[in-house]
Amino acid sequence: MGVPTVVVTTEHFRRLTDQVATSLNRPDLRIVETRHPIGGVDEDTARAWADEVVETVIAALTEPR
Amino acid sequence: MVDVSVEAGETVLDVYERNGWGDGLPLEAPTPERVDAMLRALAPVNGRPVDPDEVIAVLSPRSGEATRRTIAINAVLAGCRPEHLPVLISAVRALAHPDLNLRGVNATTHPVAPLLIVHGQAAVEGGFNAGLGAFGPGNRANAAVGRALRLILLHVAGARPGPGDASTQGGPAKYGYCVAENLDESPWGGYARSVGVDAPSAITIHCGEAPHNVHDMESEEPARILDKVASAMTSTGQNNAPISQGEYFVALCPEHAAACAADGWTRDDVAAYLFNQARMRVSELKRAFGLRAWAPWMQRLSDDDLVPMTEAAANIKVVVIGGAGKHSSVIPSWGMTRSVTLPVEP
Repeated sequence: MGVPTVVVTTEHFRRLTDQVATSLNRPDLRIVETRHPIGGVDEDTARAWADEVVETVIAALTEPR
Repeated sequence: MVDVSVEAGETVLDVYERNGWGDGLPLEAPTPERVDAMLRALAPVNGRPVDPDEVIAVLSPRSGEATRRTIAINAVLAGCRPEHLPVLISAVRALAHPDLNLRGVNATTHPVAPLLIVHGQAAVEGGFNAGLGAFGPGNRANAAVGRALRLILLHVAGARPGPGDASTQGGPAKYGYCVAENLDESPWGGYARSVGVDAPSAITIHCGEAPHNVHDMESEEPARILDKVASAMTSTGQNNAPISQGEYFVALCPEHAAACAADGWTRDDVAAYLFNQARMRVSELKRAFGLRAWAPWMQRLSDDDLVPMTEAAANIKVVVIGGAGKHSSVIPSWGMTRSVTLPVEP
């Protein structure tokens, strides 16, 4: 129960994200990867990358686990 | 306790490497006898022995619990002497202080490392080097205590590159970064007292870059020396440029400090002067950074105005370090962290 939550991370920081989730007692946290690096990309590119993962994010938020 | 077996043909360092322990360099074996000897040297508090298994701090990102015993194990690994342990325990308390933001320090891509500065009696009694070559190498206390703090980050906090430390390039300061304040040659008294910690021994941790050199062989006028310090502070390559809450540590060598004091400048005068001199044109910083975490009053400046590299003179921390010669240094901040000064307590 509670508010469905997804963390979006970039592919290069997946291991760090996993470790932080585990250390905070959330080993089952839903984590979605997007492309790297986000820093420095223009808005159109960022939107295109977001489009690539949006269905995955919605599925993670709505499908039973 | 962990029993470790050494296989045929392996060195002890091979064993550490195989288990993912250490920083890559040879380590002392933390036998129970050595760890106990370290813990026995801790002074009682209010007449009672301290608890070796009390949790001193919980360290991010792994939420690892640092006790006096786990700190002592890492102290032995790094080559510390028993008298260094209270300094290290106090440094671990500082790492966990909310102002320091250890989670961010370990999660950032910046090459930030916690600089440990030892003040007062503990520096003298522990044999720390505050003089010539203070930032290293060649002194056991500075080297071993700095390294022990990094080993605690690796082993307890889980700050291993990749899963626990996201620094893009890492950096030499991440092997060990410990120095003592040169109290004997500070014309302004001790740094710790200047920030309200009035104890015989204290430590400061500042999470920043490796030192940036400032060279002035020829000036006696404070302004001429400090203009060079300000020059080292004004760079768009530092996080201080887009993050105005970031501090600077300015490690003045004794001769530069003496030149300032001889002209009647106080520690605060030095910081105030640098606050006024270490500035860049707003338009230049806007060209360099689309996103600027600046104080609101800085955001309202016009393009032609000069903006300081940090939002307040109090963010410029002046401490005297080093020996003969005329080289000082500037230690910029990671940015989203505040330095922490604490008394040394077991």
